[in-house]
Amino acid sequence: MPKLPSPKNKFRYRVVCGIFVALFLFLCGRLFYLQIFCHDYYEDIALDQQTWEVEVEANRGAIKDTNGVDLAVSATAYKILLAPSLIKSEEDRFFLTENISSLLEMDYEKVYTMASKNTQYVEVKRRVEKEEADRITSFVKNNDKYSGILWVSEDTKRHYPHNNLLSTVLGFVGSDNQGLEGLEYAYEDYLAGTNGKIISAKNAKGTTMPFEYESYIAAKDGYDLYLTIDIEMQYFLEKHIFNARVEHNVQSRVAGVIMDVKTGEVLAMTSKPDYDPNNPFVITDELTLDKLATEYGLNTDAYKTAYNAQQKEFRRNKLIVDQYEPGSTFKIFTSAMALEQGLIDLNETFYCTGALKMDAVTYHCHNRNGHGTEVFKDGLANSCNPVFIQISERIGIESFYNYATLFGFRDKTNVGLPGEVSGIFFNRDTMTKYNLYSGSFGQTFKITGMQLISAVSAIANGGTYMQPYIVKQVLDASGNVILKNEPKVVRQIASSETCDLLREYLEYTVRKGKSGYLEGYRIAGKTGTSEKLDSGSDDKRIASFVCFAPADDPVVAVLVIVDEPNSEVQYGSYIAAPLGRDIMADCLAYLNVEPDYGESGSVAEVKLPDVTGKTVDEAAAELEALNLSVKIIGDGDKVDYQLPGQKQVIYTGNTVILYTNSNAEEAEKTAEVPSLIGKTAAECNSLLAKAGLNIKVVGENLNYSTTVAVNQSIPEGTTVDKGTVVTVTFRTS
Amino acid sequence: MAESGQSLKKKRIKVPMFDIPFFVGVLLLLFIGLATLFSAGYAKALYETGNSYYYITRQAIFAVLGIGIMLFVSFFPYQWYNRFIIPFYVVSVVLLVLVLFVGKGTEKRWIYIGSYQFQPSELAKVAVILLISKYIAKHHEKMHKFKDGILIPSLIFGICAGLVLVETHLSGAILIASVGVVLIIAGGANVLQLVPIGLVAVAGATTVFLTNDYMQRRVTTWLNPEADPLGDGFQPLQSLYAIGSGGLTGLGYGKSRQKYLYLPEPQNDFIFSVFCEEMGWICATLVLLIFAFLVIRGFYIASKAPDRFSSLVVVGIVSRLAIQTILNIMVVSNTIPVTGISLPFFSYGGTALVVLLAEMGIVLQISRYAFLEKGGVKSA
Repeated sequence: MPKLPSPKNKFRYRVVCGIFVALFLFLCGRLFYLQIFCHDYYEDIALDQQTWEVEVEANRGAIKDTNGVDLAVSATAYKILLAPSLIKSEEDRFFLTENISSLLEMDYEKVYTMASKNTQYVEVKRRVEKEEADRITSFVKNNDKYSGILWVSEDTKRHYPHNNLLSTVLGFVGSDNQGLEGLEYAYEDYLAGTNGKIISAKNAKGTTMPFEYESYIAAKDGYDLYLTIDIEMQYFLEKHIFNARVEHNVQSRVAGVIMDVKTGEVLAMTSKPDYDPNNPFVITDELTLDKLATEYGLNTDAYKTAYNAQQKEFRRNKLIVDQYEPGSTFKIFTSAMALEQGLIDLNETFYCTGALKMDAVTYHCHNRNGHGTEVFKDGLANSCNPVFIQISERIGIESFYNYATLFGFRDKTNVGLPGEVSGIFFNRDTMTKYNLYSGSFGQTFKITGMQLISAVSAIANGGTYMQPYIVKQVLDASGNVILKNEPKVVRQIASSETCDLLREYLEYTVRKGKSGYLEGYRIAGKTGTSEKLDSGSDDKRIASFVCFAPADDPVVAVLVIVDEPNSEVQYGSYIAAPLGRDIMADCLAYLNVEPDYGESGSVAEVKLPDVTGKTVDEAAAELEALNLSVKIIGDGDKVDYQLPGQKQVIYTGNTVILYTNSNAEEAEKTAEVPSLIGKTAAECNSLLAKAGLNIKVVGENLNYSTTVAVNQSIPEGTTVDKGTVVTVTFRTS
Repeated sequence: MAESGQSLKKKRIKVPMFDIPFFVGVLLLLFIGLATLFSAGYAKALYETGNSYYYITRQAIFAVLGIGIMLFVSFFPYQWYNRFIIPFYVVSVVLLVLVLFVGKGTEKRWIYIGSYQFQPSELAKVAVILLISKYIAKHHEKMHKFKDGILIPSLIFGICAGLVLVETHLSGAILIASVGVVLIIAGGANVLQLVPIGLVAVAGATTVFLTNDYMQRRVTTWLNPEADPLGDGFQPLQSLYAIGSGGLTGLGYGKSRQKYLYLPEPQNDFIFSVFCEEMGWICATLVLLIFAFLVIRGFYIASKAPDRFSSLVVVGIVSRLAIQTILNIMVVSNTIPVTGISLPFFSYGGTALVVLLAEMGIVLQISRYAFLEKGGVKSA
């Protein structure tokens, strides 16, 4: 093998070559670091600059009432788009700006700024109505060279088909369809949905380039909200509240709420005047507009300031965000406290002189002349402050505070509405006797309407405090349940015995107070009139009435709060009780609660036994066991005769007259049948009861005021024995 | 020399085959390079000329031409052009001076002949390699001396590098100087004597850096490109986004997104960023390994070359290939500050490709006479 003619510096070759190879290997490592370790970091930035996203807006979920009636929906609207980068000359830019700003009633400068942007497209105006969109469409049609530069695209807009109905509960959305108040705000996460997007590639100049990179992420529509609200009940509640506001020239607002006492469901809720969520910043109430105009003059600065303050006020859900002194309605709870602890002997008598001096402070009764001697039952019915002050003395600070807490007056109800407050209750450590005494009749502390109706519902249902709620369920587009609220027991706040007694007493209270009383409907309730102590005025009052019915087996509770009625009489009994009664009457009619024309118990047919010949006591016991009332005529001890006679069928609660063997006045034994034709069932019942006669009802829909008697079995003016059954036929006219 | 002359005689008669592995490596890189250019230049060509095949068509023509020249050169005995080396060098220097006066644009690198343009520095690189090799072959016994081993050969590349630097073509100057230094070391210069020169060079570079705002900015940008993403940092950042996006296996051929006008010069200096983005780390590493293979094979051919001159020519050509490749990839991966340097076989540019393939032809031609164990014919 010959000697190779190689250079002399092979070692140096190897070293140089080795260095090069080492550098190549180093670069492999460097690329590994960049491409593997830093991959995610660089990819994110790269994708961010390489793509442009077009948002695809998700449809906002609807809000519906308990039966699925739409209360808030997403409706089709339009948006106006402009491609500023395609505008060719400054002349065109001016021309476009001028026309767009006049067609859409927008600020010239604002439009010009948008038209001068160096972007693919700008949204000139969103959520416009068809009419406005059509203006743009016809402009482009007449100015052909702007097609592709200015165009109209579909958009969605929140629509509230019932305008003001339930507005203070529903709330409204802002310009980006985001919930700003009410349920729209509280349930934003459920309603909003997730926007989708179209991602397409762009080059460094911001224009699309021919390469296959486009992806579409579908928008996920928002969920539908189903409320416990029943639109029918909401409708009549609002009607009554609106009328009351006008009738009593209410200076502030009137609020009302209806609750299902067994479940805690809010069936209807309103605060009037309210607003139209389709135009949330506009006052719709004409009385208010007139008043503002007279007071400040149209379009003055003062007018605008007042207008602004007022429209904010009208968006408040008074029952949730406003605190008030409950006044005498709170006596229900002072009573419950005392009854629970057995602090009252139901037969003991109290004495009211019209005022009571405790610890050097004189507390007046609303009746300055005093109620005189009264038992507790009448003390409650008379709403007698001195009685309750004395009772509160027995309860004591500690116990009063603890019970108020138990009844939920120190916590938010968490009904599911935003902005809820908990009221202002006494501080346990600093609570004084003065607080205790005035607290016993609902003054010097504040609660919310929601707290009151929730606690009253508990008393009504036998003492179980139910979690109040307004959202029944949340469903997705396919009807799958996302969230479901069911009746939930929070705690027992009073014994059923206490509640039974209170129901009876409260029914008695309404009956005695008359203004909340409705024949045939067993309404139990309590009025309240509280001074607005912190308003700086001595005349301002809040009149309220809370009630539930039927008293023996309550279904619904109603609370109405009339803030600053401006009529001669401001008492709750005068203003709020008739309002609450009318709402309750509609509720019971709507809920198909049959009117009850007897004195007690539910209505059932009873076949009368023969009690003649028995002793009065035996006969009375036997009939009372059948839920019948007994009236004894004469002073003998054996029953001679009974009316109605044996085997007759009458209703429970009706009266059976027992004639004893002694001589009785003939006048006492007989009665004259009154005229019943054209009267309502309630009225007939009342008239016959007064005459000592019984009624048998034929016909349907007796709870409607339009249903009247068309026939009576015994003609008017006939003299019959007391207890005789008169069959009355009713028909809806 | 007698022995080598004898063996050359034998080979000339036989016209032995050139080194197949090196040839295959060259073709492989050329093919990958063209494919990458097609994808990388597609969008830019479309945007700038309206014809997305603009770059690839022209480059393909030059590639075919270049292969022809490479094969032609591979049959052309290197001894024959020995006498033209000095004139070639002189012409190169003249052109480098000329370009300073007739060159267009702010960077006076190009000479235009009609619609055709070329860079004299491309010729100068070859001329420097040939002349230094010729010089060392002749004076190899005095290479250990400072004057003969370092000063004179440094002048040979220094004149060219200096002129290229005056064109403000920094990367070209660095490339010429680096190749020159590698040749001097490979040729047997006293490395210890190079150390003080190296120190002077470092001191000089530091001075330039400290006094020159432009250089300072480049270095600052290099250290923290994200400080000014739309200004100085734009190029290195866009390159990093491309490389980083590629990941292990890349977005797929043709699917680079960064080539859509984000990357500066996606068909030229930053073509490898697009390759990394589309093909991923595995393929990028494979390409680097093919380059490394060519370098190793080149040094192998050099070490087996028939004489000093041919051996050093191969070392020079291969070193230039290696240094240019390494510098380019260091730039696109932001390992060193940005400087305009193209990637052999990949970057768009007709002259450069033809010259490169001609150089490859020289290596192949010398490989015919090398005493290779494989791929070529060994003398018996």
